[in-house]
Formats: sequence, C-alpha cells, structure tokens
Amino acid sequence: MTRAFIVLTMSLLLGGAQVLRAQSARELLGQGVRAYQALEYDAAAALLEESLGRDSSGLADSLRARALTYLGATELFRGQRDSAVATFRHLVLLNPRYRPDELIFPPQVTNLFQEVRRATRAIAVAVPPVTELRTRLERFTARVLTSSLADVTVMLVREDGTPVRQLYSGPVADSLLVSWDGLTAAGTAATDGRYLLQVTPRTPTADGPRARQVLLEVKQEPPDTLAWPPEPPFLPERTSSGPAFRSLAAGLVTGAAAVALPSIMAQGKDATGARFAVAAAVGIAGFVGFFAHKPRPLEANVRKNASQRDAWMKKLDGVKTENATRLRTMRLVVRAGPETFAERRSE
Amino acid sequence: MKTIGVIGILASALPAVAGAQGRPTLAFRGDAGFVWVRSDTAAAAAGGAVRLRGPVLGGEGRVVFNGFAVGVGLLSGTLQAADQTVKRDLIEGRLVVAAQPVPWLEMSVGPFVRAYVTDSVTERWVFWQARARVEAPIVTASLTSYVELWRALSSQVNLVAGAGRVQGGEAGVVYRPPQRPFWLRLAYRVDDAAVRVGGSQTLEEISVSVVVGAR
Repeated sequence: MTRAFIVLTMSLLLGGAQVLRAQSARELLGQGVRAYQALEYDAAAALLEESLGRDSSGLADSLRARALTYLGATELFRGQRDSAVATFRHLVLLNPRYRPDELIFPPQVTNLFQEVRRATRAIAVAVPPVTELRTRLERFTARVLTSSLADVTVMLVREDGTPVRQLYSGPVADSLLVSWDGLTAAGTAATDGRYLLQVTPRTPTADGPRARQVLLEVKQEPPDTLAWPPEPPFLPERTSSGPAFRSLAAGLVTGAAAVALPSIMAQGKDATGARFAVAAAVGIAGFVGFFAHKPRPLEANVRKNASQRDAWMKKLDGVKTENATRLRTMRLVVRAGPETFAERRSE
Repeated sequence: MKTIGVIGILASALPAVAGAQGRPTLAFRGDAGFVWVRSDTAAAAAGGAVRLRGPVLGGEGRVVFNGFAVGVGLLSGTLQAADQTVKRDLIEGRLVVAAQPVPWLEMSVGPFVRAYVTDSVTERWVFWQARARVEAPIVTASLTSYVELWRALSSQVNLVAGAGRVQGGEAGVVYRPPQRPFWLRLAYRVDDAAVRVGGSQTLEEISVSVVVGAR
C-alpha cells in the first residue's frame, strides 16, 4: 500500500513537472511575444531565449519556429543583425519551408529572413509516423524539403549503413515527394529491421546543406494464404482383389476337404482315388474364379475420376497462383522515428 | 438324441419360416454316380475285407419354401466285386427336412435307410442324420463349392453285431449356367458306418447331378 502510494506520488510529480515545463516554455513564449509587441525588445529577447533554452521537448517544432521568428525579429530591432541572421538560419535549418507571416512581421524582418533563407541551404524530410503498405501495390511516401535548389540523393539504408535501395537522385527546388514500394534493390520485400531514410546532397560542401535522415522501423506481416482445396473422393479405378482370392480360397479349401474327407470320416480305411477327381475339379473352379475376379480397370470410374481430378487440379493451380501472388505482396508496417542530421561521410 | 436334433433343426428354421413370403417351389435332382463299398465287418469278411463297386442312379425331389425345405431322395444300383463273385443291390432312401438360416449354411435332419440286398438276405441300416452344409461362391451366382458333414443321431442295423457310429461327408462344386433352368453338380461323398464289435462299412461315391428348379 505504502509502496504503491510512493510510486503514484512519484509518477504524478514527474508527469506534473513535464507538463509544468511545457507550460512554462509556452508561457515564456507568450510573454516574449507580448514583450515584442510592446516593443520591449530586451525583455522579449530574454524571454524568448529562455523559452527556447528549455528542454527540447518543451516546445513543439511549430512553436519553436514561432519563437525563433520572434527572436530573430527582436534581435533585428535591437540592432543585433548578426544574432538575427543566426536565429533565422537556425529557423531555416529547422524547417526549410517556413515563412514568417508578412501580416505580422514588417518587411525588414521578412526580407532579412528571405536573405538568410537563400544563403542557408537546408534539407528536411517529413514522413508519416506509421505507414502500412502492401509491397509492390502500395507505397510509403516521404516529402523532401529544401530551402533552395539542391541536388540530393534519397537513399534507404540499413541502420549499419548497408545500402538497400536508392529512391531518388536529382534536383529538388522546393519539395519532392519520394515513394517506396517496400522492395529492396533486389526486388524482394524489405525484411524486419531498422532502416534509415537518408537525404544527402550529391556534392557535399562545407557550406552546403547537411544531410538529414529519418529512422524507419520496418516489420513484415505475412499475408494470409488460401487453404488448398480438399481432394475429392475418387472412385476406385480397379476392382478389388478380395473376391479373386476368396474364390481361389473357396476352391482350394473345398478341394482339400474332398481329399481329406476319408481321413476325417473313415479313419484307417483305404479310400479310392475318386476324391482326387472332384478335388481337382473344385480346385480348377477356384482358379477359374480367381481369374474371373482378377482386378481389372473400371473404365467408367477412371473417366469420372479423370474429370474430377482435372477440375481439382485446376482449383489447386488457381489457389497456388493466388497464394504466390499474395506471398509476393508482403504487408509492411513502417514506423518513423525522429528526423536527425546524418553524419557526413566525406568529412 | 434324435428328438434334440429335430428340435434344433426346426428351431434354426423358425426365423426363415416366420419371415416366409411367396409360394413354395419345387426342385428335382437326378444323379448318376459310381459307388465303392468296402466292408470289413466280421460277419461280412470271414476271409478279409469285401470290396464292391458299381454304378448307381438316384434322384431327389424337394419342396422349397423360402429358407425351408422338405425332400425325399432315392438311390439305387448294383454293386459287385472285381472278380464278380459277390453281387449286391444297393438301395438308399432318405427323407430330409432342411432349413437355411443364412445363405451360406443349410442344416437338415431326417431318417436315412440303406440296404444291401442279395438273393438270400438284406442288410439294412436305418439311422437319423443331422447334416450341416456350408457353401462358398467361387464365381458369383454361377459357380459354388460346398462341403457337407453329417453324423447319425441314432442308428440301427439288422446285423448281430449292432450299429455303432455312423458319419460321413460330401464335397463338391455346383455350376449354374447363365440363363438356364438347370444346374450341374459334381460331388464326392464318403460314409462310414461302424458296427459295435469292430469293423465298418465305408461307402464312397462320385456323382454328377442335374438339378432343375429351386435348390
């Protein structure tokens, strides 16, 4: 009971602290914006810097962009042009497609931002958090964003860097939708594991955009396959050998009985050879019966079975084909992680 | 003993009789055969066993009512020794009541009389037989083999020595030609009749028969 109370209290405290931190970063942003609007630029700069200085989880990207915009504008009006440029560069790197609202910010702010945006070459990647797709048939999509015209390569690699498939290579003026059908370069479905979707400048330079990447966790979900159709009940295609052997046995046993009768019924007497004639006749009859009942093909059943077998085989082939198609289109679940800067390989 | 046998046969026939439907049918059988008799009874064989042989003709008529039948049979022929010094007439007659509880089994009972007749004396055997006959088809509906065993429930003979155990058996094959009103039968039978003081008479017969009508 006591332990449970302590755990509950700790959880509430930790959760509450996180909410408090988020709220306070947001409040600081609000206070900074109000200070900016009141032309109290020093106070606004301090508040906005503090809001941005909080833990990265404190503000969402959209709020961080807003804070950076106001901070850049504040620095500009404080006469700190270099600081304003640095802030706007940070903003462009955060979201290359971001634009300050021209209804809120005066032209000197937006012009400086555009100047910085043109000078700052940035790349970003936007992917849906979870995508479910059937390989070959459906596609995973990612949007590549650039602050200015950039020549990029979009590559899917394993977490250890092993290339899986190149998805695009070429210029991106503003944004580009890149899609992936779930297959590797070899044409097989991607196996379970962690992958990186990397967007890299084709010619890396010191002042060029930094490569970005998104962690993708891929999991295969095997498709349902159809059960094979049950084999139809085929008719016997040959007569049974049972009657043949029963006939032979009847003849041989009766013949043996004829031979043995005097020994059984009149022991110690010399019997004539007459019994052998009957025994031979019955024995021969047994062999006649054996050959008369010898297993032979039942043509009508053979024909009927053949048509049944053909129909069954067609069904079976259809199911096999359908299953092969289903197995080719593996279902993938792609979960995207956060977007990060990729390490420069050539530096 | 005889009464028990009759009751047993009638009891086995009861289910067939109870379920009987339809009309009775008649069947006739004509036999042509050859008989060998070997007698080593003390009375007959002062100087060793007597061996006789000869052709016989016979026949049997039956009234069949589903699984139940009543029949009368007769067989007759003249037997003689190989050197023709001994000659006897053989006459057999029998009355049979038969039941067929299952298609492959026939059980019957009835009195049987056999007589060896010479100019001076007639040796007459009278006994009640209980018979069991098992059939096995070789070719369905056209070729059937059978084995029949019988034993006397009681026996009498007009010899001083008196009758002892009497038993026998028969094995053969029946051919029913397709779409013909008759059947053909080839059979071998052996009967052994013992006398009390020792010795016996053994009769063997091979016969070909034609049967017309129901079995």
